[in-house]
Amino acid sequence: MKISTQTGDAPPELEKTRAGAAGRRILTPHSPILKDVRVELDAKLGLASLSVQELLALNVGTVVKLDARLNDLVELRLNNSAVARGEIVAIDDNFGIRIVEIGEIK
Amino acid sequence: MTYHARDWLPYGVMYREPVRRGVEAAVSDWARRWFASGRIGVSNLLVCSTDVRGELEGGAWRVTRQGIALDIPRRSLQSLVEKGLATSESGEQPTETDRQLLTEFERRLIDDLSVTLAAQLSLPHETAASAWGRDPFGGKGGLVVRLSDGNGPDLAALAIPFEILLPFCRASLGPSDSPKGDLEGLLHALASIPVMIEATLGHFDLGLSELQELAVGDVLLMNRPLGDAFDLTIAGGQRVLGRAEMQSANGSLAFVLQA
Repeated sequence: MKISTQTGDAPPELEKTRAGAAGRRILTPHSPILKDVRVELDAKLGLASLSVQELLALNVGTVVKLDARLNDLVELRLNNSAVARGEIVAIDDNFGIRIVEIGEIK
Repeated sequence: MTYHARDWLPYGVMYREPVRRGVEAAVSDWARRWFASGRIGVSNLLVCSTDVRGELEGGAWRVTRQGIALDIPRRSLQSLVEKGLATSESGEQPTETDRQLLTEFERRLIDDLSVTLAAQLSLPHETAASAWGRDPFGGKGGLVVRLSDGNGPDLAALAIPFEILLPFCRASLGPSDSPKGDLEGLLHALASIPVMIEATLGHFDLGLSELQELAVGDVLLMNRPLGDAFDLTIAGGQRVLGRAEMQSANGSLAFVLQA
């Protein structure tokens, strides 16, 4: 939920708090409490665009090309925004992503 | 609120076949059994959107157990008796016995027409006890059928509430019950619409502090064994289309659909 500091832009229950605290923010981006918030990063391999007709014709074993090359980096997306890119690595018997680029969270 | 196609029908549907045909067949069958001349038939069909008091000529509608009502004015009843009993007007004052016979005749006449109509139009056989009332439609409207022998004013009026007649109309005139969510009929229009398929290798669950400290060179371990199939999603990741394995195809990354 977006909470604005502009007068009249906050839900009524926040207006009381604001009046008593003279506009002082409760949280900042550096607040420790935010550090424990859990988020999920999605590792996206790529996209493929198919028409509905092609989609309905898909069978087990069908090979569909993605818009990514073999050595392209995998995108890590947070809430559908790219925040980093990395390469696929194998660690023991599992997949892993080694971070190569880090971007701004949009 | 969602309104389904079968929840409503326009009032005009009452004027159309097979409603008219069904009513006419029932009236014809009833008249043939009761009246030697058999000339009584439907002179008019009228849809009333609210109540039916304006159509009443007698003292009250007789509402049958099928919920259908008939209004037979006194003058018409005498005429119907003459037709039914093949008697002629004698000019004598009716006795109490005559009146009782007349009332019984009227009751049987009405009940039989109601049963005949219910059978013809597949209406519910019994909805409530028979009664007399000023508005058998309960203010909700219905179909008024005027009966005539072709000589002079109409003999009687028949009132069939919408709520009784609608199941028949829906079954014979309403839209079919197409299964919801079936896009079969729209395929020709949908065929070329592009759908984006996303190949997602997996997910990482981490805290904002870990995200903040993420640096180039760090490795995020995925809880997914090598060679395990990954998810294919559509609708912005909201729907999983299926599972697939990675493959190379002429230097590009590709997926192979799994069962």
